Amino acid sequence: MTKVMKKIIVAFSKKESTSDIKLSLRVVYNRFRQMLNSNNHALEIMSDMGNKLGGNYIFDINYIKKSYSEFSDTVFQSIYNLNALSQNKYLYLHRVFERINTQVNRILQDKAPVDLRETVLFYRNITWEMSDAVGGKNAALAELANYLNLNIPDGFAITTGAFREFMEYNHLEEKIESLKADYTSVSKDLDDAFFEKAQQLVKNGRLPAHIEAALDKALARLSSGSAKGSYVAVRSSAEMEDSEFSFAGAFNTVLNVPADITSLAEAYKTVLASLYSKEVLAYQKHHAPQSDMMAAMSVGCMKMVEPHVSGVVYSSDPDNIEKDVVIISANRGLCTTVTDGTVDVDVYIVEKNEPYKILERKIGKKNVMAVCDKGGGIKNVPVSGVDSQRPCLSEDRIKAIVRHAVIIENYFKKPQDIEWSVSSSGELVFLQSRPLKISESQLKTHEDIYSTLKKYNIILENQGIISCRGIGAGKVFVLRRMEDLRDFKSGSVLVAKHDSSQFIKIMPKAAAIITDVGTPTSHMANIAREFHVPTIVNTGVATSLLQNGQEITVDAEDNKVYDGTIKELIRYNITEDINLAEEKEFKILKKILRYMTPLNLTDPLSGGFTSEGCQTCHDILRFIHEKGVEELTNAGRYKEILHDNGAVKLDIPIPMEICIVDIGGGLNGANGKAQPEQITSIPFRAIAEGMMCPSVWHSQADSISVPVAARRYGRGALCRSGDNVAVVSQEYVNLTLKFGHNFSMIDCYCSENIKESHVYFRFVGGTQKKSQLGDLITTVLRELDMRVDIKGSVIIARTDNISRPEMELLLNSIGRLTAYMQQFDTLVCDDQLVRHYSTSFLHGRYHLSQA
Amino acid sequence: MGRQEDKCRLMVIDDESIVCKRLKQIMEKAGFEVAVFGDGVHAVEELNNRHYDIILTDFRMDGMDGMKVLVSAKEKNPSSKVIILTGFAETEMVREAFRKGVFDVLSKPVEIDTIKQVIGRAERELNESKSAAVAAAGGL
Repeated sequence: MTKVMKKIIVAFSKKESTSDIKLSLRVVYNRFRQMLNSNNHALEIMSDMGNKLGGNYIFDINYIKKSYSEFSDTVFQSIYNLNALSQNKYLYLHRVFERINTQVNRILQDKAPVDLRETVLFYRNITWEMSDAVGGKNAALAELANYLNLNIPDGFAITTGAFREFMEYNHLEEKIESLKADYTSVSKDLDDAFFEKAQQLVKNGRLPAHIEAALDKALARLSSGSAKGSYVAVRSSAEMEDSEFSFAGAFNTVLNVPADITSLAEAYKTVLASLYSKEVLAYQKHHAPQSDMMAAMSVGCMKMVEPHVSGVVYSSDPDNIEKDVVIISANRGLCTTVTDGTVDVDVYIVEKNEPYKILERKIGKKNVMAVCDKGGGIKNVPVSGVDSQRPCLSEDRIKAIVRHAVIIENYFKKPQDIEWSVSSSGELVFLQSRPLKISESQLKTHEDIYSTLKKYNIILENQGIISCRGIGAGKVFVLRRMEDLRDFKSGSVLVAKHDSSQFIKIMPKAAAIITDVGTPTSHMANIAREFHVPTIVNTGVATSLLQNGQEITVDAEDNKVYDGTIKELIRYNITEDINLAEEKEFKILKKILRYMTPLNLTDPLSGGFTSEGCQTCHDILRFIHEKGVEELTNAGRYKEILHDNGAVKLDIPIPMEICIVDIGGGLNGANGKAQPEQITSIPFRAIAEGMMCPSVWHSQADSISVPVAARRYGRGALCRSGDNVAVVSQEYVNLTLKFGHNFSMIDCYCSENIKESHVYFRFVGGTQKKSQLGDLITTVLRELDMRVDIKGSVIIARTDNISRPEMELLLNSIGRLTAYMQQFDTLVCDDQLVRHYSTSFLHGRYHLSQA
Repeated sequence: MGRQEDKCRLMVIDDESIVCKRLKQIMEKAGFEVAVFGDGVHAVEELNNRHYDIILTDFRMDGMDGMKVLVSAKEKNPSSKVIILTGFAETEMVREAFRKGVFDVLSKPVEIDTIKQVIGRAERELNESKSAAVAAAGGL
């Protein structure tokens, strides 16, 4: 039994909190604090682990195991605390967490996670974190389409999950193991006969019915767009293929397969069977003797492109990577004649930089081309006459291929070996991209990089913090205005004043990023680490020191920026045998973080915001936070709060009555009535100060005195005691305000520790004019840099991770907005006026007049 | 080139290959000559053959732990600087290591900059004592 399961049983057996005992507000608050503490501790560990991906630390597997174990205990504690707070409303969360925990523990033991439930994933839905499910080749292809907007054939991946199910369903592992035992008992080596038999076992396997159904459905979807009877290409994409292992050619590809389920199933099994070959076994023994992950294979199924021309492009010269050239090989027809090297094809050597000058053309004889055969399969046909001797690519086409190859290399940060086709309609389509195999002579240079680098001119040294280690070179692009991002060219170095998560748009194209102000814990830094973009933040001077268009080399390993492009450093980077992204520890950490950090539960109002909807630990923590806040602010409890907790009326010179319930250090010596000076709650004081800002109430609508409002909205609309309640402690406020039919709630925890802080604002409009008031609120809150979600008449805005002074400013603005809102709601106005008032408000002009 | 012999010689001992691999890359780029070992026994054997200026060793290892490496290294060459890396820094262990002449104890995970600084400091001390020795010899 796992540690966590034991804890769950203990948790369930504890009888201290049963639903028939009402907890006092103070107890609720204390449990809330405990919940916050455990939640925040978990978030801290998570961010600490995330930071390690940047490469700035030396760590080993023990660190990952130790951190995750502490993290897992803390999340458990958080779930426990929420249940203590809510009187066991969310026990199911334990089960959700246990599910995630099981997967993570499998990864830590170097086993594949078992939750890859999808059988089929269409390329357009594949993101980088799915590479376990779809294999390296499929993942890279999807990245070309989804991050670089390049053309790839429509298609889908049949996942490693489907593979495992197929193997289990047919008991293939056992069968092959016993076959192996039979063979090894006779002779030491496994011979060809063994592999033949093993492959036959796989080919004879049957697909489980639901996999067959899923493939059938996917095929139908794939061919729905095409007019004639369609065909597909079926390609291998083993889990580690095209990463650190190059299996080039070891696995089968079946081209031009009729798009029906019987043919696809045959081709699928043929590709799977190629896992059982001498070459693959040798690789497996050598590289991952204990790992069972190696054996998982995903398969790509994509629409067959019947090309006019096709070929391979190397984004660099594998024999001389410092030379700025791209090499294209091409022939008419399918790519097979180019990849198998049997035909004398065209070769073009082209300069890597614009205008992509063609340095060399070697026009081959091209006396054979491969074409799709009628009814399926491919065949080689002879080509004779003038046609065979003519170049098969035009100059424009050559340049387009080179330009794309450079974009792809910039994205993957390493030279690439790319397969492409030009369809009969003239469209350039990419079929595969994998790391280019660099020749041995380039790898063994014995160059003393330390001495070499001494002769180059350093522009910046140790003047910032490395967020993501790596080396990148390119032309400087100084970002002045956010809208200029669209002019960012692939391969440039982004130089900006501040970190911004908006940079995600150019992240796939950036050679490196340097900012004046920023932190390695920002969202941007996380994204940079995901895309492996070398990043230095907080240099203070980058935008003033670096010129647009200047060529630089960013060494985000040694925290240096060099003037010019330093080829030795780039080559060093490419040939260095340590590639962090490919190191086992980094891979494990990255995989684990996928179960920890992505946040899917963002909208508390959506139907999916449930225990069951939590897919990651971050979701669980987010859910716990939201539900914890909900427990604390549970509207139904206000009467009780007021009665039982000695509410104090706030005596402020504005037409709003607010009752305060102090649950610890929020008020100083108040008895029955509190003066504003007596508020010691940091966040509440900031809000109250905003509300009391005199000019906000000096609008023409200041006739909204309590009696007037009461007449307008019904008796006691503004001041009915219990409608406006602030639950406060020194660092916390939960303020509920009701005016007219509108309801708003501000929940804020304002800690010294940035990571613990949050501001949460919820507005529920109730009147006809809700949309105008809603627009005003939305505009203002967005300008205040809050994340705003709108759902019908409900507006939710959040901010977290901000410093105390920033938070006080924000709360002051929210206080003013709250006061302004109440008066605004009595006005009738149109959209234009809404814009006018929003702008006025933000400029500190609060005058309102009836339209 | 030709300055190979001037380079400060660094030995890294850790049973986690990622630690060796990364430190080798990082410190070579920083101008050191680096040799890595996956266990203490082989590393100490090597110390019989060659002199290393700075030794960076993991603490918990099978066969021979970091403390034994420290003692052997100091026996063989009292001037060499030994730095211990450990995932579990216990006060008693740290105290003992300092008694036995460790240069510094760092706990894992450790920031690369920190390692570089500590190694840099050790290198400076080595150079200072070398030049003091030279000066003393010259003064005679």
